[in-house]
Amino acid sequence: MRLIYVSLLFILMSSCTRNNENIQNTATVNAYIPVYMQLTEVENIKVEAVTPTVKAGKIYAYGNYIYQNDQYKGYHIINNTNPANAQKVAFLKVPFSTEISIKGSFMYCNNVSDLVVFDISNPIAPVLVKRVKNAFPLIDQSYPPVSNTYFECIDKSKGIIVGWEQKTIPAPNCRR
Amino acid sequence: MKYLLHIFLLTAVSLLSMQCTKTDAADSSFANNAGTGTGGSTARFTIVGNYLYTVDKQHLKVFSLSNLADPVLKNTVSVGFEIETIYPFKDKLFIGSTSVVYIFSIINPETPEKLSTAISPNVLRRCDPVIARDTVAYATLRTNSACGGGTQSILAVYDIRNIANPIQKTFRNLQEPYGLGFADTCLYVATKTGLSVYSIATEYNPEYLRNVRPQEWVYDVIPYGNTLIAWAKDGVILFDITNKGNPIFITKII
Repeated sequence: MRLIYVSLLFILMSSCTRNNENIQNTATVNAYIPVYMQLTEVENIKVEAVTPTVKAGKIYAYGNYIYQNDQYKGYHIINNTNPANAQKVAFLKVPFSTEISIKGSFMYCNNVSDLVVFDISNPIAPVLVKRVKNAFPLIDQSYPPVSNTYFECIDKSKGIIVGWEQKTIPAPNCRR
Repeated sequence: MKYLLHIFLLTAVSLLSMQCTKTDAADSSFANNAGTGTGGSTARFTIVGNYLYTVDKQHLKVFSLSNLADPVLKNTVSVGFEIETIYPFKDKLFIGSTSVVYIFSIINPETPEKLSTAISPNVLRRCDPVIARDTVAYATLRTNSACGGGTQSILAVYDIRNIANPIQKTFRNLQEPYGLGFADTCLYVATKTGLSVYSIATEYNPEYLRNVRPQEWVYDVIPYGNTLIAWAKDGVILFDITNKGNPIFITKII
């Protein structure tokens, strides 16, 4: 166990360095930008009106309904009673959710690092009934998912980091 | 003439039956999975019996659903690295990673036990959704910039009669595959250029039938009765699969 901690420490130490040489460099590079979220925003779960799909995610089928994740936003609820006329009937906002499973009118999703449970007895109006805190401890988000890349240095005052996106920006000061 | 007609009809019938026919053994779910929904092959959550199994990058977690409204974490099992998918099959879990497929027994639902690891000799690093039916498992091994580099992508076919020692029987080359699913004797593979359909009437020897909607980037599929639900890049596409070998576009929900 101690060896694992030492290795982790070593990886952490070696993975992120300030890139002082490039501070004056104005050339643009492909870099990773942290995606921040405030905790109050993370737990802002609610049922909303149907909305166009932005970033289509995983699909799930239960009874006459299809659920499609909109990555990091929530779930499109689709009434599939008649496939030829399948349509969205509601949107369940679950910030930073990507995974879903359903059994016996209860729906299980991730919500950042928590497991949340909804009663979906009324399919168009899921009700949050349980939150299992820290069921999925966040993977270390203090650096981007790949190595050998530039990334925008982290500013913890902006909230917790829930992901990374790639952008072309002037060379930032952090590099992994 | 009548003789020739007979031969023709017999041939036609046998060809049809070679395509995609109903088999009774194709149900991969537990009897006690009544009331449980269906996910795709790229899922990280799955429910088997009264348990929710989840995978993150490295761990398999077991939550008891004895009280559906109050899941309780029962176990956390270290699996490997870069875990991506979980697929239930009878009393097993197939866990796909970017390098191998892990097979776990859940005979004891709260204490999953690793039985074996399936490695393809054809591709070294890839993204691996995997599904299983009876004595065979299918995995798409995709290599692109996000999944280890390289250009070769395959549909791998494993003999899992001896679950402790899965053997790759054969493979098919295809363009950038993602998730996959089967119904009766047809296998559906989501690809960057549409939905590819194979006959798996001969389980270890998939026969390519056709590709539909090549203009769509498809990520995963759920065969759901006579409807195939597909995750497309911009929404959900529904196909009619009353004729399993010939999916017909119904609608797209964006």
